[in-house]
Amino acid sequence: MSSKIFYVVHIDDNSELLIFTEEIIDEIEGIEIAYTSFTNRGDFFEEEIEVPDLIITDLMLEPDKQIEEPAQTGIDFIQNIKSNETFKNTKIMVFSARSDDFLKKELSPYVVKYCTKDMTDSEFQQTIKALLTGN
Amino acid sequence: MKKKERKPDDPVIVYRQLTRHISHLSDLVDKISNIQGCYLDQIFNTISPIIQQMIPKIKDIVMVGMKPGQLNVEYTVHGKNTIDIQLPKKKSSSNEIEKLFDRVSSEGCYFWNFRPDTPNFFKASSDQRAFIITYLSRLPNNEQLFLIMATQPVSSKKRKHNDFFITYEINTLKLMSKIIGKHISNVFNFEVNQYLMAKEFERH
Repeated sequence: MSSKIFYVVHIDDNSELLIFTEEIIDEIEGIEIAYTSFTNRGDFFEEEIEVPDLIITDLMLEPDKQIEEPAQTGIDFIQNIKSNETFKNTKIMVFSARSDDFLKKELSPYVVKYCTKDMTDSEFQQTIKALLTGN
Repeated sequence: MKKKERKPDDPVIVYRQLTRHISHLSDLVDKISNIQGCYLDQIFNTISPIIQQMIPKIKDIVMVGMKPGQLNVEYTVHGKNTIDIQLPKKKSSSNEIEKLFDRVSSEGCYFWNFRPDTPNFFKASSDQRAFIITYLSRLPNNEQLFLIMATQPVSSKKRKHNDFFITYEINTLKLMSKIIGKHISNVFNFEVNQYLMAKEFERH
């Protein structure tokens, strides 16, 4: 009997964080997850991959250049994904170090979960599992 | 070899930052424990340099008390490292601030990064600063104490990632404020109890 594979894509410009996250996701028991990560948004659109069940994305991916609101590019990216027919069934979870009220409010129509990077490993695992299985 | 540019939420930066936060929190606990009596100005003078060392982007710090009166809400500045502070005086103009402080006292803290249409406690425009307000404690006279902290003004053209408050810093400031608040509560309650006990002994 083949079990369902859940496709998860993670976009964050920090490669060390992606390594940590992959290990944490690998430890999730009871479901099979295929994890793919990208350090920039362009590669995500260019590479041919399965349509993900869940996209985990950071908000501030631009280099530390002068910018009025560094999270804006992340907001634009999420809105772009949700307007794309290919990803109509894909859930989006924000995983960011920013926890501003206005960001949570602005993104609420597009994302299923807004998580901050200070969450514990077990909270993160439970969140991912719940989002994928719907439980 | 070119040095890798790291953002404030990079795990290496976060690790180093948290290590520094713990060391400064430990220093803060040692120093406030040495203050005998409930002298809020002394407590402020002790904690404000530590906060600035811990999170160097913080420039202005004010310890403010809010006490509801019959007609007005009274604000008292117990300590400040800036002359820039401006608090509302009349109840009509302070409703928004009052609600904000009520929210801070129930949630522990509230912050915003360079947002227009937000309350301003300083002369520089609020959309040029990141702010955080934390709750310290309630004094026996029903006055609630808060810390208002703000970064230095940065125009939108010069703003960088590190000018924004991120979760790790907010958590540290919230924890620090709990520690300071508990200390203030303990000292005040101890002194009030001493006074009441002395009066009780006098009666007998």
